[in-house]
Amino acid sequence: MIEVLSPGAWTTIQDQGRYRLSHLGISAGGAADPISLRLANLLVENPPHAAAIEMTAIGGKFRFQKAVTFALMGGDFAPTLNGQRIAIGQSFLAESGSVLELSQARKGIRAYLAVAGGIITPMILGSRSSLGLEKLQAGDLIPVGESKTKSFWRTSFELCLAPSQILRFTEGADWELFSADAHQRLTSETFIVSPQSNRQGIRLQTSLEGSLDLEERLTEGVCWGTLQVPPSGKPIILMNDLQTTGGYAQIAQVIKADFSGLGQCRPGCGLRFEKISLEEAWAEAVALEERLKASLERL
Amino acid sequence: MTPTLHLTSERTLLIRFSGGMSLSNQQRVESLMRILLRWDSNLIRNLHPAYASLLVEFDPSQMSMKNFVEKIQDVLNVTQMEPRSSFRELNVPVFYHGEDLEALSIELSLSPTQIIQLHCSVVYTVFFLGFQPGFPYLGELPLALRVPRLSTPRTQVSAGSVAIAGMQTGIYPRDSAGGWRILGKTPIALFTPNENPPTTFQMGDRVKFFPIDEVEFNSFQGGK
Repeated sequence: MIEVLSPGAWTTIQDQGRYRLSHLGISAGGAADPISLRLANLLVENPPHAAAIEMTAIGGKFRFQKAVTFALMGGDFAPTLNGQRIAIGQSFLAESGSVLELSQARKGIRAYLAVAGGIITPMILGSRSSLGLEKLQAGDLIPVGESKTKSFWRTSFELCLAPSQILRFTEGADWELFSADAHQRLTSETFIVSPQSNRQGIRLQTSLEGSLDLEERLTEGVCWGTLQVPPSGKPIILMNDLQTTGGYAQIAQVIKADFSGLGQCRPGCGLRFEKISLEEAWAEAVALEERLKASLERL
Repeated sequence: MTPTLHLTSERTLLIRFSGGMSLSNQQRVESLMRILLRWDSNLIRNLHPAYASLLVEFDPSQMSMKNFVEKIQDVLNVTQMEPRSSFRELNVPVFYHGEDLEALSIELSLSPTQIIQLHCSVVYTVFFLGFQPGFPYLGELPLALRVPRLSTPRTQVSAGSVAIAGMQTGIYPRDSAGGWRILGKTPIALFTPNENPPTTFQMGDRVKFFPIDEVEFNSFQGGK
């Protein structure tokens, strides 16, 4: 068991999320930074999509009730184990009774704590991910699975944690509804991330274009990475806990290879957008997989 | 009437049917969705039906984008539309005492009783589920009840709220923000994650509302 001594700002259990339920209105959920979740799991020899603890902005404080191998991946929350600073992206052994503490995010905004054996809270609809409302509380005891970990690992993978980021996109469902001016602005301006961003969506403060005739637009499906433009003209990039359908015009779709960066961009971050082809988007996804595998090193 | 296919990313295909919101499009979207739900679960990751479109999330490591588009095109070309001959019919109790009933009465020049009668006069179709787990998009609303949504959405709409907007009516499965006009509240649960299926309504169901009073509402809730 892991005892939650202090939960932090917004701490949840997340795995890869729920699939094949969107037609019932149930969103995928899952880790907001899926690359960090996978790497944290691989560092402790878990299956890549085992459940882990996701922290946002302010980290938590945890006591390991028995000895366990663990790893942190994601943003830099200045983690300490029994008061000693430890590295991100590396597995460690915590003795029984050890205390792990994360403070505020200094780089990025989400951190993942994976433990060998994974977190084994009950599955709901095929996933251990929070259904959107349940946050961890002080005093919670989190069950951990059996571990067969033999080795310790480190990853050299470099996440996008910079205060400015480039997100690559393909043309969205309503690309052609937008003016050439809007297309041009999307790829030339810097869009600032609003503090109102969360696991449902990243709200941008910079306006793209207003006054689209939205009365005529029928509700359609939306998914993770959809860049939609409400009447205010300020785009919203949809995240994992999104609503499964939406009525706003969809200008772009952020490529899957850049989802980790989406999950790590913090309020005030400057985002720039770069348009690429479908073939390039897929090539990026394949290249990312290879970089992930090549980044792991046994200690 | 040929649907259009748009690859909106390396892993999403949007299929749009022409003609907007209609019962025949509802059946097209539903039958395509049911076909794709029978395909390999590693290939079809998620399906997002709407009034006249289906968004498909697929895994391009299982099948290339090009082959996937061709395969969907084949289905659209050869598959006969199978209009359903039977529908599940659900009767939904509503305690009509909603926040917007009085204001709507003035705006529509109808008494609250007339609004309730009109809302209960139609057999609705579940066009699709979306927005929130188990939220049914029901249509079509009688002409006399058509009003725009609130210009500023409420930050708090309680679970079970039965509401209208445009030609639609729907029920909020859980407490949330929302901009539809609230007529009343149903005591039935719409999203039960530990049951199979987890949602009370399914796409294509037929729904009729009937009024209940506060005592019935409370006893219904107690019994659940």
